[in-house]
Amino acid sequence: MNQQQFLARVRNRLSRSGAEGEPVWKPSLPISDVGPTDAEALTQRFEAELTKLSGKVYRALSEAQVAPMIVGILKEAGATGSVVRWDDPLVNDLGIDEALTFAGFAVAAVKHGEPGRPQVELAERSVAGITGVDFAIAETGTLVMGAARPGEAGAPGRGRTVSLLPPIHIAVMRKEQIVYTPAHVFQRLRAMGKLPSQVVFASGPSRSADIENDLSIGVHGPCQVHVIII
Amino acid sequence: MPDFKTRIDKALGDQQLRGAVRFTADSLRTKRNAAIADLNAQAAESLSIGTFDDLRKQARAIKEHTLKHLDHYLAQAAESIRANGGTVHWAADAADVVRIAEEIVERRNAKKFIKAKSMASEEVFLNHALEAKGLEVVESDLGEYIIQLAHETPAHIVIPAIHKTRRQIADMFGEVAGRELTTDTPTLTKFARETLRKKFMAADIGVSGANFLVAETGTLCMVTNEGNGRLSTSVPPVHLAIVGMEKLVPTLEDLAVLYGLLPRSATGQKISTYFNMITGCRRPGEPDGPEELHVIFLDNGRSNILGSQYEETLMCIRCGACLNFCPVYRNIGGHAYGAIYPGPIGSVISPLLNEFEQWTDLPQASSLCGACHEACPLGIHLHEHLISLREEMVAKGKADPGFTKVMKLWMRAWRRPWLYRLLSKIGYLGMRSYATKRADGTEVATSLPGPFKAWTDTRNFPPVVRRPFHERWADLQKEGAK
Repeated sequence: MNQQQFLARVRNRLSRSGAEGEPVWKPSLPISDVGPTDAEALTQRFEAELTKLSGKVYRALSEAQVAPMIVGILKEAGATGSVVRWDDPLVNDLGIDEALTFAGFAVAAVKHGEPGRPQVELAERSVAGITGVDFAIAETGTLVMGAARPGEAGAPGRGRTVSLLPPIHIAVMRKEQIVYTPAHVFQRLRAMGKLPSQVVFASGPSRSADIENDLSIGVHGPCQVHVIII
Repeated sequence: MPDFKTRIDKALGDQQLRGAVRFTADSLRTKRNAAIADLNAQAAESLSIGTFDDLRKQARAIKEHTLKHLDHYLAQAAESIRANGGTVHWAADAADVVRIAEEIVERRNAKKFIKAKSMASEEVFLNHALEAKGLEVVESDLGEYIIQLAHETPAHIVIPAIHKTRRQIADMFGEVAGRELTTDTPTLTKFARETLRKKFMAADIGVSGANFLVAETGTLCMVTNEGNGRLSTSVPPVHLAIVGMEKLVPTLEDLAVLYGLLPRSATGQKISTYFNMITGCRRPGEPDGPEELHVIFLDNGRSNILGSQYEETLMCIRCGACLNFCPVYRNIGGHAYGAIYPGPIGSVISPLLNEFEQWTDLPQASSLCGACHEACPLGIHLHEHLISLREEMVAKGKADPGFTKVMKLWMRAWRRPWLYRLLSKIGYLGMRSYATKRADGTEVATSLPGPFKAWTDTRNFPPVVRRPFHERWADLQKEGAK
């Protein structure tokens, strides 16, 4: 069946000719006055919500604290081996590579658009993935990450797998990136124009209740989620 | 397939299944109620975008608008998907989906499929068709994987393997592993992670459904907790999405409302662990993601519902809340229904989506209490549709002829006041010898003869009283006037 036949059937059921033009639609509920706007109030709520979902939240007082914190998290987790990270302004100039290399980890940034699947294999081999975020959501303890930078053509140093395949996900974010509800994110993404090929909302580690309703962590996605707020 | 009554008897005799279904439904129901109470409390302090009722009202408005203009939004979605490098296919039925999948298999020389949980794919029996071609198809949702290893069907649409014990799961996993596994959750989870991760890495095609599809941007949205939805759509070189044509929403902003309702209604979560928004395939320069994205819009009977009195059933977001609240589902579980979609929503849409004749007895499986309607985040009037379907069934001569005859006689008698009064008297006298007095002074018949025995075998019958209500009404009116 082709598009024309498929839509003809639908139009027939709806008694529409197809020449009606664009329908008028005003999206959704007003959200301007929902939730706090103060950055500290938002940060506290985010911290509380993500902690409830078994995520770990750390506060860095300056950018300089980030790299040592990452090393500390990995040591605490008993991790060894290689670490993969986004190649993105959000994580590039924080001294992460130097600190991790010094601590004995092999660090690699995202492979840019090479043929084959080197990036997927790199992420699969890594014990941890380090990313930034585009937004964080206070109401639900959620990280929002685009496979590229939303609204920007040709910022390809991210991809889909860094926050997905390694058992440990470490996200670095700034206080100002926190908004209150998912609705704020949808509104902003819409305003930014063309979406990256993937935007993912992640709220804590992977979970399942498929074995006798018993909570199990890390069946597919990361088993641990650590968030450093600058 | 054995008939519905036999299937119900089998389910009622399976104590393990009943216990598991009851436990799961209770726990999901409790969590859902708590999540909605929390949402309402937050709304009172302007800390959420609205109360449950606000969201429900807006969700209905979104879906109503989209369905009324579905041809426009389908065309818009198709255009947006193509603009982002995706390919759009149109499937009238299951055979179309299978044919489209086979074309992709042939062109890509694909051998291995990995699947995220998708009700649409189950509806078209995709696994069965692909396996018949000698292809490997692996379900990656933990519950679906367990069900697949057991060669069974889901007992619940959200948590498919509720009826399997950890002992049974450990045995099945152990067989795959070729060694004995302990029954603790971390061991079983670790085994599933390692085994399925290899399947993801080796898969040629990842299959998913979609919970929502944004027409304006062509964005597929998937609500998951495990992450297998992300893996299926990020790791294999081809992503094939099967999308019921009713999944559309106009804009990104509309997602806030529907996504606000779905996890709360399904599992009592404020938000699911993952919400995956896919707009096209891997772009030039992006380091990963599938090279090809195929979106199949599925009709499979949906257009018959469109424009009919049942149109609002196309608003369903497949949260499963109506299952958890249904007194019938809670007792018989998902298998007894026999159809892909169980519970109240399944009893309504199964006869509408597929062959009407095959599922005529499903609408009988309801007490018409309306709990499903109250729980439904879209407020679908499921109990009313069940009555309409029963009427259609009778009109099409699909009801039990003996039962229809009795009901017709009953209707005739009740239309004639003198006959009604006479029958009340006969009923009273006839039941005297069967009525026994209870401690509180009320009477009850626990065992009746003849055709009434079938009733009293499983429940008591209240005996006809000496003075029925219509006789007492005159006295009551006098009393009221005093």
